[in-house]
Amino acid sequence: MRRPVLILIAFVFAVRVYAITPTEYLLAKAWPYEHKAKISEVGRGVGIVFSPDLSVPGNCRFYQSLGFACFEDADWDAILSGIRTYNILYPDRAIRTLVLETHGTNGNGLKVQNSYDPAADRSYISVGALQERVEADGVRYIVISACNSRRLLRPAIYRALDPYNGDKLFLPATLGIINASEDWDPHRSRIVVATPATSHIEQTLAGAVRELSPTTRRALTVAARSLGIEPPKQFAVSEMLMQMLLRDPTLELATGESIDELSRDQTPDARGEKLFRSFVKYVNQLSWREYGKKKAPATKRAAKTPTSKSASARR
Amino acid sequence: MNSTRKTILSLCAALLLTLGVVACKSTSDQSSVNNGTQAGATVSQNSTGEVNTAGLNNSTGAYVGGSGVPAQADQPTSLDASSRVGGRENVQVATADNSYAGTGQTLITSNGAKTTTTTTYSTPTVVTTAPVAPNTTETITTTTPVVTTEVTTPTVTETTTTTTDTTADTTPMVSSTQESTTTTTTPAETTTTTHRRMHKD
Repeated sequence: MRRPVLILIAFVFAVRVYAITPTEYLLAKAWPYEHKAKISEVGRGVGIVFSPDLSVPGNCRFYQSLGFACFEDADWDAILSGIRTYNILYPDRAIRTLVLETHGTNGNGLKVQNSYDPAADRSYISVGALQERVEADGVRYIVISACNSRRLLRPAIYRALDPYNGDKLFLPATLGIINASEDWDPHRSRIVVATPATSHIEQTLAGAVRELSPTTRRALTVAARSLGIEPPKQFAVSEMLMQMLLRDPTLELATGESIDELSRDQTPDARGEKLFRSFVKYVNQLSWREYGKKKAPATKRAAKTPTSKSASARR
Repeated sequence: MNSTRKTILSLCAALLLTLGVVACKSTSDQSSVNNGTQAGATVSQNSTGEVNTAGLNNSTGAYVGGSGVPAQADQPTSLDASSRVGGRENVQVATADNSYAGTGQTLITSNGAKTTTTTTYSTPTVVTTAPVAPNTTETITTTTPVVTTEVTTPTVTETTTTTTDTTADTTPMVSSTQESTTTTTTPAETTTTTHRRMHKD
C-alpha cells in the first residue's frame, strides 16, 4: 500500500520539477521569492536603475521603502559609483541583481537621459561595459527592461557602442559613452544578462501611492521614516518589473542570445492596466499580512477597557 | 628667590587640593534620578527626543520598534517635604471606613445531618423613600373613530423593448406583461486607461 503512494508522490514531484521553465529558474536565482517577506524587504538584494525621463518625482523613495536600492541619473558614471558605494555601505543588503529601467535606443545602447532635448543630460553604456564595471561590486544578474533589449547583445556593439549608427533616437551623448576595456573578455564574466525573450517596446506606468490601501500607505510611511526619507507619493513601474514581482507565467526571459531584428511592437494598454491592478493587490496583501493582523488585538484590548481610559482621563 | 617659589608652589598645591575636595563633594552630593530604567539596560535616544526601546535594527542604522516619550528631567522624584526646618507636614487623616461586607457560613446540625448555610452580608444601605401621594385615580376613556381607507393599487404593465444592432437580424419584439424584465447589456471589454504611460525606446 505504501509503495504505490510513494511512487505517486515521487512522480508528482518529478513532474513539478520538470515543469519549471527557464524563466522561473532564472528568476528564482536572480530574485528569490520570499513568501513571508516584509513589505520593506521585497526588493532586498535588487537594484533598479531608472532613466530620469522614465521616472516620476520621488520615485526612488517608493522603491527604497520597498527595500530596493534605487538609482536615477542621466550619467552612467554616477549610477555605477552609486552601486559601488551602496554595496560597500550595506554588505548585508548588497545588490546581486540589477534591473535596468532605461532606454535601449532601438537596441543601439543603454541610454539614460533627462529628456529628448538634444542638449539634455544623456549618457550611454554598452552591456559589456556594464558587466565589467559592476562585476567587481558583486552583481551577478542584470535584467534589461529596455526597448529591443536583445539587440543590445549583438556582438558588434556588445563591448563598444557605435555612435554613428544612424538611428535618430541615438541623441548626442552629452555626458559620454562608456565602453568595455580592450582586454575585457565577455566569456570570463560571471554575470548573467537576461532580456525579454521577445523584442518589443517596453512600457512604464505612473501610479500614485493613494491608489494603494491605507495599510500599505502606512507601511510605506513607516519604512520610509526608518530610512530617514520622506514617504513617497507616486511611483513609476514597468510592465516587466510587475511581471517579475508577480511571477507572471507569461513572462519569458532569455539569456545570452542576440537578435538583429528591430521590433516596433507595443504591448496593449489593457495588459499594463491589468498588471498594475495585480501589482497593487500584491503590495496590499503584503502589507496586510504584516500590519493588518497586528492591529486587531490592539483594537480589541482598547474596546475591553473603556473604563480605565475614562478614569485616567479624569485624573 | 627659592623660598618665594616654594611658597607659591605650596599655595598652588593647597588651592588644587581644596578644589579637588570641593569637586568630589559636589559629585557625591548630586541626586540620582531614577527614570525606571533597569541597571545595565540600554536606552537610545534619537534626535526627535523619542526613546527607542528596540535598539538598532541592522547596518542601515535604522531604528525599529516602539518608542516612548522620555521621562521629564525636571519632574520631582520624591514628594517635597516642607522647606522650613521643624515645619509640620500637612497630613490629612482619612475618614474611618465602617462599612463591612463578606460571606459567612453557619453549620446547622439536625438529626445527625450537617447542613451549611452561606450568608452574604454587607453594610445596610439607607433607602430614602419619597412620601406617598394620595391615591387619586382618574380613568380617561377615549374612543377612536374607525376609519376605513380603501387603497386601490393600479396594475403596472411594463414593456421592455430590446433593440439589437443594425447588423444583426431583426428579431420579433418581446413584450412582457406583469413581469418586469431588466436587460443589461455589457460591452465586450471596456478598458479605461487611468495611468500615464511612458515608452522606452
